[in-house]
Amino acid sequence: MGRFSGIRTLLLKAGSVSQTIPSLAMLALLVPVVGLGFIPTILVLTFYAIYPILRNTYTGLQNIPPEYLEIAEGLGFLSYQRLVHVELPLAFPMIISGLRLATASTIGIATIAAFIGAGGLGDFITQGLALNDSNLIFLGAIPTAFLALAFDYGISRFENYLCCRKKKTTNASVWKYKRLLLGGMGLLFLGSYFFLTPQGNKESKVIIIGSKNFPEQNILAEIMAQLIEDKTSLKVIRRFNLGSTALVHQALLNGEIDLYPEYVGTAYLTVLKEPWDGAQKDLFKKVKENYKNQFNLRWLPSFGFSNSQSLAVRKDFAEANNLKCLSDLAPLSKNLSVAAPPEFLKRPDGLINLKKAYGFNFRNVIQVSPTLMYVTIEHQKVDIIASFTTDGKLKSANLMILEDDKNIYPPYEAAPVLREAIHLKYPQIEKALSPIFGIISEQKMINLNSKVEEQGQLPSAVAREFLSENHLFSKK
Amino acid sequence: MKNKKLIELKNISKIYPERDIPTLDNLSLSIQEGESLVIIGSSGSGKTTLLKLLNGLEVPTSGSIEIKGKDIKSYDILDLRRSFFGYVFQKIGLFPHMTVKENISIVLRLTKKSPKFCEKRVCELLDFIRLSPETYLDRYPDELSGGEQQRVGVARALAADSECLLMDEPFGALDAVTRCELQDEIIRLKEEFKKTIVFITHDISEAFKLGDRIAVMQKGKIEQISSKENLYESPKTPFVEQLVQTGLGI
Repeated sequence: MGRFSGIRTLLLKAGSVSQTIPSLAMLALLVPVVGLGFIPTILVLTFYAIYPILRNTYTGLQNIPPEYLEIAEGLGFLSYQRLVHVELPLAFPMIISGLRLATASTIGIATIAAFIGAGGLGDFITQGLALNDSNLIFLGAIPTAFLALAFDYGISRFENYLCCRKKKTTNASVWKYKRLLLGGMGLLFLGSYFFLTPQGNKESKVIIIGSKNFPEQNILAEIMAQLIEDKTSLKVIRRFNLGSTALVHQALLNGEIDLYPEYVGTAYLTVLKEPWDGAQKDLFKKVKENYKNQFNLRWLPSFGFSNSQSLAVRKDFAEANNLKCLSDLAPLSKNLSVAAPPEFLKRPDGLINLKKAYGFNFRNVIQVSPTLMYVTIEHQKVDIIASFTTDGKLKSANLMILEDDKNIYPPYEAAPVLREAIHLKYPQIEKALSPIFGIISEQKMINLNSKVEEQGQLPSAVAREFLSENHLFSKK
Repeated sequence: MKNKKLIELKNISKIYPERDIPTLDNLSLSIQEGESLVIIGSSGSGKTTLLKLLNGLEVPTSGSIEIKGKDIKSYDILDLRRSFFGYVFQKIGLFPHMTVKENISIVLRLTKKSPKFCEKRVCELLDFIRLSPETYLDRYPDELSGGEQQRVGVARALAADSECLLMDEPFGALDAVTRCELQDEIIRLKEEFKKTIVFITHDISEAFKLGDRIAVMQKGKIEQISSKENLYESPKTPFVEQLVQTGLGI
């Protein structure tokens, strides 16, 4: 160890710095290089596991009393013999504790891999987070914790088995009982893990549907999935909750998903990175062409609604002041107060742009978290909030969106994006989806979102209800 | 006594750059085959360094060491450590993660002796040091008393049937009764196996009991080297005289 002190210091430093990189960021960085799912997850987990093992091994070897090394020297050990017979056995407890640390953190980090479609227990956690459903989070987190415990216990048994002294344990019977209990639990959770993990295979007639990680995306993706399952013989694999736009888009390019719902404005600004000056006509057409040429991706027709940003007011307030669009608000603005989440206040396409375009001069602007925003306006603490135009909470809070009549925002029409190759291979997909093109209005989408966000229904149930209410399932 | 030189040290100096005075200062010494030489001195007199020079754990700054008339550099140092010298260490001597059997046989295993041979040899040695193999073979060092640990340490030094035993204050940490028992063992060992023994101590009565010859060291030099009678009758320096008198309880 002493001979390579330069390399050793470098390795340990690099290792400890690397531990400060958030694992999610690391996953996201790897996606463009190695794709979604299993491989990047394994890479990242390996990466994070190496350091604690390395560090503890090093510390363990460092802390061996020098007397023992001298004895080994005096008895004529070769350096490898010293390593095998003296150093490693004496450092063994430290090495094992590093292994235990690494195991626990690996199991924890593995749940994060659900963000890049690796599935597993993390799926429940990400869905739970996206839907704000603590039961779902527990469904993922509790087995994960038990899994970690079970593995930790397994390693400690392994350690005892390897290292040691065949001493009789006085409380052998107690341990036997505990072992049975813990072993059983471990098996149970391992079983549930594999059972619940979506096992995708690509062999025959399969379409993989993806989504970002918020309810509206889940509902739209579910509607598409159920329609395709109903009208075609294709097998549908769901890879929902994939996180940011960039991630989902990359997944589509890599062929890790075949289809997902996207918004025209997002595609224009975030994916194509084009500037918006409020004047472009036929944005959908332009996005469609660019996607075809640049990415070989196909936009299908819009679902019929646009999920843009705007300001919302209470319905009674709108009626009393005869408000319909943002321009109507300008003359009143100096007596009104606004609540908005931090990013809406800071982003240039947020409040700053709105003020400039409409000449707003609000009495008061309050920065609050998105969930608190609705509480403040319901209790009349503020008059106006920033909102997405299909937000499910608009319904329960009895709010109304004011129209962006000067087109500050590009149209955010929602529509399915499909890989061209899949479209050519399975033209039946577009046909299967065609009944929902243009039939979901903003109001309908708000209702659907509200069922998930406010009433806690599952996206799949909401999608099924919507399809059967509109008689879109084929009669069998 | 055959009076044949086994080891000879010529004009040895050892200087550590971080210390102002030399640890060993132009020291010459010869060790006869079959004798027991006890080196006595206070701590810091350089006696442990002297012992480490013999089996190559330290290298002299100047001077030469000859073993059986040949320079130490012409030997394979690992061979010397494994089968010419047997080393008994101060206090901590056994590997805590190895059983008695594994500790004693470690040098044999390093030289790839068969497990059967190792087992047989370990049992012989345990018999010799009067620890019953059935009871002690599979014990770990922390399950032994201090005296038992040092007996095992001695057995390990004997395992490869080395010609010369180097013992570095092996009994320093033991109580008086146990120490006395172990000193008797050393005498028995010397008589039975005719080993050459270099024994380090700071206890003059131990030196008198075990040494054919006694070397008194102070500040990196040998003040006097002679038989115990000679040491008592004609001490060369006041330090030696004082030491002898302390030892005799005068």
